[in-house]
Amino acid sequence: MSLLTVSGLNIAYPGSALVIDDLNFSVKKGEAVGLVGESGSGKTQTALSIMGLLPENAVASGEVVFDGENILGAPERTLNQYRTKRMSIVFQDPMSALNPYIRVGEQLNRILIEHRLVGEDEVDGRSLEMLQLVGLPDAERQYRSYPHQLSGGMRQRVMIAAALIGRPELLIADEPTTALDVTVQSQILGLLRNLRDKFNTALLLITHDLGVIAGNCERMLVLKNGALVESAPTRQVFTAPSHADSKAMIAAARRSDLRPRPLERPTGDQPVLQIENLDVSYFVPGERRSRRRLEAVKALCMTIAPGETVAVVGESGSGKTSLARAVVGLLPAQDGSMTLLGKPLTGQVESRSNEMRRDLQMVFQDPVGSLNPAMRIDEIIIEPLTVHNPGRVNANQLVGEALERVGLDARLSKRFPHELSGGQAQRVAIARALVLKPKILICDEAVAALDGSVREEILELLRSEQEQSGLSMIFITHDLATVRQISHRVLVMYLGRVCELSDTESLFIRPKHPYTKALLDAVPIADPDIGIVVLSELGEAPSMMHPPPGCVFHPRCTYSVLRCGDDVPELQRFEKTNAACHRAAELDL
Amino acid sequence: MSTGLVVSGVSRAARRSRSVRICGGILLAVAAVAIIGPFISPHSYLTTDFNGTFIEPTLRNYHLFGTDDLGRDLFVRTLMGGQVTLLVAIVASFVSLVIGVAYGAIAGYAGGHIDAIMMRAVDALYALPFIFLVILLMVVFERNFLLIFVAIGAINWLDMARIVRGQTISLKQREFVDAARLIGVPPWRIIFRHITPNLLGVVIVYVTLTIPQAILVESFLSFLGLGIQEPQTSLGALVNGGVSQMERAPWLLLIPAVLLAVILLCFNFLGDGLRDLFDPRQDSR
Repeated sequence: MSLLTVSGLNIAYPGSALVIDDLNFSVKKGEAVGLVGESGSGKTQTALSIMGLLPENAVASGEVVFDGENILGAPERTLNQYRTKRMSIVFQDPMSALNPYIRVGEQLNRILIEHRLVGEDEVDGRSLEMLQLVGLPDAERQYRSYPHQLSGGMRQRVMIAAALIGRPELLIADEPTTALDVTVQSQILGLLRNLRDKFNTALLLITHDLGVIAGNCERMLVLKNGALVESAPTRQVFTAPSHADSKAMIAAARRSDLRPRPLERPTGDQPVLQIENLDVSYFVPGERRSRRRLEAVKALCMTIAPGETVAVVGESGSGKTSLARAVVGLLPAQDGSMTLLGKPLTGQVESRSNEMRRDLQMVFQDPVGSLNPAMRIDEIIIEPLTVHNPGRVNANQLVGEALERVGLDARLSKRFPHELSGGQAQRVAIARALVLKPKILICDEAVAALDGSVREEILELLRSEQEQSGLSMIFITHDLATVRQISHRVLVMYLGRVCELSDTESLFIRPKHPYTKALLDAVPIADPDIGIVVLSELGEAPSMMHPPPGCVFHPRCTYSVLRCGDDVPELQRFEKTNAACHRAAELDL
Repeated sequence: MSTGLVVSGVSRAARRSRSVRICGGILLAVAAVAIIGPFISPHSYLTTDFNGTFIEPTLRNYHLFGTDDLGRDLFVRTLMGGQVTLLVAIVASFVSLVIGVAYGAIAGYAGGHIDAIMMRAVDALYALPFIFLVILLMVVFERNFLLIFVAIGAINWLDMARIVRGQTISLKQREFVDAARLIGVPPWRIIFRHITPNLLGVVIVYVTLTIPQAILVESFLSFLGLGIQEPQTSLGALVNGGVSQMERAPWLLLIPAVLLAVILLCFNFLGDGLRDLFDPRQDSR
């Protein structure tokens, strides 16, 4: 008996093509269905049309039948009979879905009162019970907190509590974990699974990440440009996809899971860059009296050989970006020393010599934001050259060559950045960084904002650049699949400290630090037979403002002993890795 | 480059917004008539004719708007007044634009102590009572045209500097500025090549909203007798003259007043329209 049946759904906006083109699917009672597709494929539009939340200028036709009744285009009064009580939605960004001025508990209370779900004297109890049910730590206190006082993971738990408070029969989750760190993601997915078992709620899980679907959904739907290209049991899609697009999608997901980088680590005699005991800290904005120093990076040591790629991984707030910004001189280093090709590297970027600046270039996360919107592509690419050798630039030819090198058509040179796609813009940013022939390229989440196939292309471009020019790279990312594809060595950071520094392969096969192990376990694997490991005991990262004493990871560590809370562990050398853990020698992870 | 950007931005705005199109068209028409009109008309703005005072608007002898108490042709005088008013407004706004953008962008980009000192100076200037300042200037120096531009420009740039500084501070944190710093682009070049062109949207909108302000200030000064001096005239001065003859010859007040109102309204609508179109939050539409 199907709970929700969508048939012949079309959605269009004035002046554009159909965003949803003849969509048909159904969700049975208590069933979990995954809806995947790249950005712009119409996933969110589908969710909004089911909830009756499409913008007013959208034109929708077809049927959305919920429990025997067509609710597409139904008046608000009718829809409110369904919302919360029979179906609910959880959005990607919990901060913008919660009202910043109202305490968390009160927001739940208002839902209960609005829908007359319980008697007035039971409201508080019911809200609190729901917050406890979604595993919010210290629920009594959080009940009185404002949304900004909670972490991203806790906010998403509150959203789930709000969505499930009316015990709906259908929960739509639109990219519920995309904005969260992997360790938190696995906890939220585990929570959704538990609650679903408990309440027998049907789930429509919308995501771009096949790994998330694999362990959570019985059936999956693949959307491409607004049309359904595949609809089958998850296992069948993974083993024998019938459509070319889903085949490519599965192949890409598996490749990034499995394929290690088939490259030997180069062994240069002299490192290009040597960092010793680097400390980076800055003042957190606030009242002068209460201003505090945030220690973003603490006592970090690393070296990079010519032609080598070192990936820096860690959750948000681990100090990855601060490390990168200190190396290039956008943030001052408080202590420690850096040497570039044997010469000391000090001061902010403005006080460094032109040669030093030329040797260290950076590619940023947001491809469009890192290009000046008021400059044309050729002006952007030629600027580094005019700054470094004024008056001796054959602009047209150089721009043409630079664009060709990153695989772009020279005809794009007169465009503005907003006229490019994300992938094209990132290629321009890479071209700008490479025209100076740097020794080290620092990529700060350079592919995080890009879709799957474009991401592959950019990684491939960086790799071939490295092979041709012997460039070294520091590759900052939170995505372990990317790490495996591009890096020779990996530096794992947690709250500003190094946990593990290892060869890429041995890190994935034999991690030595419990945090590395937790990160690896948390990555959802695109294989329905493996599923997801739930790290429910892991909890969330403490604030960087108040790092725990001793080993910073010990409050979240399953293996911690008394000593971990007192002594800061040193980075110790093991066979193929270096780990900063007191118990690294005895543990078998 | 940046002028190209302005032109393309404004023309895009004109295509997309009817109010921008209509108001821009009216203003261009007024400016064109004000410039060309006096050449075509057989009368001069300063020729008096004591046999032909207080003629009502008529087609005879081409006194389209009639004549004033000295027998001067009001049509030509209104157009001359329109010229002066538009000129004062545009020059004053341009002065405030140049000073304000440079000052605000430098303060915002430099930050820290330099920013603090520069912005406190702005605060101090805000505290000066403007009208008394102008009256003082008029008394100390000769009353002249130039002084009005300077006086009006000198207050308007303060607002502009504040707005530009705020925008600069948010632009400074964008990644393309970091990228320019890494390349080694010197600070002055970052300010004028990377930051200022991205301020243009805000600045253009703000300028179209300060122009009516400048017109009003000029009219006010002229009304007080501190502005433009006879036989030169401005719309404010004409309104002032018209008030004293209001009962005998109402057209002397009505015609310049209506033209002044039309110009003010058009600039205000233009500014509003441009503001809506340059608002980045509406980009997604």
